Amino acid sequence: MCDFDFQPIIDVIVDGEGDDAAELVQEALDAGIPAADIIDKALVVGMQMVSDKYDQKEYFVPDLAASADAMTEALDILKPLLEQKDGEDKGTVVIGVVKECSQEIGKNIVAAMLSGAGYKVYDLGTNVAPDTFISKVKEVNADILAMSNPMLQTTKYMKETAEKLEAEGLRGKVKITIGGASTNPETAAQVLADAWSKNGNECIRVCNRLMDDLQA
Amino acid sequence: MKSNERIDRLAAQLHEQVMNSGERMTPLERFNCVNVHHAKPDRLMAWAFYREYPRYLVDYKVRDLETDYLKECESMLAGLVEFGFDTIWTNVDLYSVTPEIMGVDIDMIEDAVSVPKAAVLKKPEDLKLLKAINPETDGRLPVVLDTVALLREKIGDIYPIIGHLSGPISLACCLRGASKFVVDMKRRPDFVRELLDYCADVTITIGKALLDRGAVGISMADATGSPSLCSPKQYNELFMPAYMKIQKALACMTPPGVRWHSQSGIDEVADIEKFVTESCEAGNTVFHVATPWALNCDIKRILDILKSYGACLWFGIAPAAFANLTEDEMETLVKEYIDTYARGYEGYFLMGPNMLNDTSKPELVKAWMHAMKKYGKC
Repeated sequence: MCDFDFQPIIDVIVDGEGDDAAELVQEALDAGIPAADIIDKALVVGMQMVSDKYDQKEYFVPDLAASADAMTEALDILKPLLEQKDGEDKGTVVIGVVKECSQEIGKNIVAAMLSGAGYKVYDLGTNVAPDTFISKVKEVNADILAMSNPMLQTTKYMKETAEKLEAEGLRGKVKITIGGASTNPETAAQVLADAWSKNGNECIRVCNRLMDDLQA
Repeated sequence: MKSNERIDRLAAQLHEQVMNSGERMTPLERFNCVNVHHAKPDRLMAWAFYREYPRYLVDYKVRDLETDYLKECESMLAGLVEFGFDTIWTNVDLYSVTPEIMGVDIDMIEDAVSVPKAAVLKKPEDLKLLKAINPETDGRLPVVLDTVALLREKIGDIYPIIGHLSGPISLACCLRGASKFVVDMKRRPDFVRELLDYCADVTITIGKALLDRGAVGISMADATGSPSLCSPKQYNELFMPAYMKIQKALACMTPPGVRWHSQSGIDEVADIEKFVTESCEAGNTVFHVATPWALNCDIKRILDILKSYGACLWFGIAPAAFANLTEDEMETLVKEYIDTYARGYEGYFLMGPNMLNDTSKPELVKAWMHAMKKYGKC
């Protein structure tokens, strides 16, 4: 089993081939490879290579999105197997695009990358109202709330969500990170968030740091 | 008082304001001076994209404007009376009008811009199911066209009525879903090409209808189609053919030509000179740069290229400036931008907010206009 060749899975993640990723992951499972190994030794490695290529401007958003999509296809198969092992996630993240917005390219990439990095991710999609964020955070006992905001005029909903989280007495237990085209590091303070990240890679680092803060 | 009467009163107020402004040109003359003749105007063109922003002046909600052309007209005119911009334009796909015609489910919100809920192109083959549109009858497009016609009738002698189009990439993303569209660019470029060709045809149809009903120019915004969305190669091979098709079809129908802008990402383009040149060669007559991102670019070099093609720069001030500055800071900022970038390019320079929205403070909008009149004299 130790000889299992993860390279084909890594390659399809890097190439962004969704159907192939699902097929190869299934083959690996059939060969007796544990789901966690497939994630750690193939998906995470592949996504890291994709991120590096993006940072080096060798890859662009469509490459990133295709790889994230392939990763999601693979995770859809692996997740049910992982969920049997509670407590092994790095943390639980609720993610979504704020109310009155439907642009989700960045959010989807970040959600896939966080999943690949070991977080349990609940993706609420687009046009998510503050109350919906809050109820999901409560339902799944989330550690981190990640909100994406592409438009300046909807920035107010991030602040409203943070205030509602505070009113629910959850602010000490739940960290908030934000991102999106209309945001910058200063926005985080304006909307009472703990952190801001520019892209998926940075969001993983930010979430790791926020988890350390929670556990400190 | 009925809506028609209020519109007449606002139009009369505008005529009076313009005639008593003490300025040498009407907004229409200023527009033609810059956008058609590239001559030095009496002052720099105050180019505002203000959408539903002034609705509070007439106590309407966004949904009223999205569905009733008289209310849309009233709001637009009230904005001009209050702030004194040089531009007026109507909205189409900001309000999801075209996607709705194509069958996209729309979330109509009472006082915010409507949001497309789900894509209609579940699989690439579904493209064959989409039909050509009839702007005179389909969905809410008559609201937009009737607005243009009424504005032209009421103030077309002193103001340039600009028809606003959403670009093909934004429409394609609504139809397919933005995430899938982006993945398609990598996995199914032929489908993307076909989809964008269809979206270009739809855009042309609406553009022609806007011009037929009285718009003097077309402004096409394609916020989703920013250069940062894809690689330069994909931009050239997938996006540019659609843009060029639209330019070719519409530019000959309107003296100021067609402008288009991408909301952001210009500063991330590796070779900005090449990008601007290609944009001009595609027929673009107004190139938009948005601060703060664009301040990383060589604006004067961009202006030189635009000038050589007879195209204008829309120097867009960040919406955040209209939310966060003081009035004095706004005046200082506008003066600085004019002194730094506009001098020597007056016949090619348009300046104003990237977009006014509900975070924009009215006193700062007025401060911007005050500064335009004070420092923008040519």
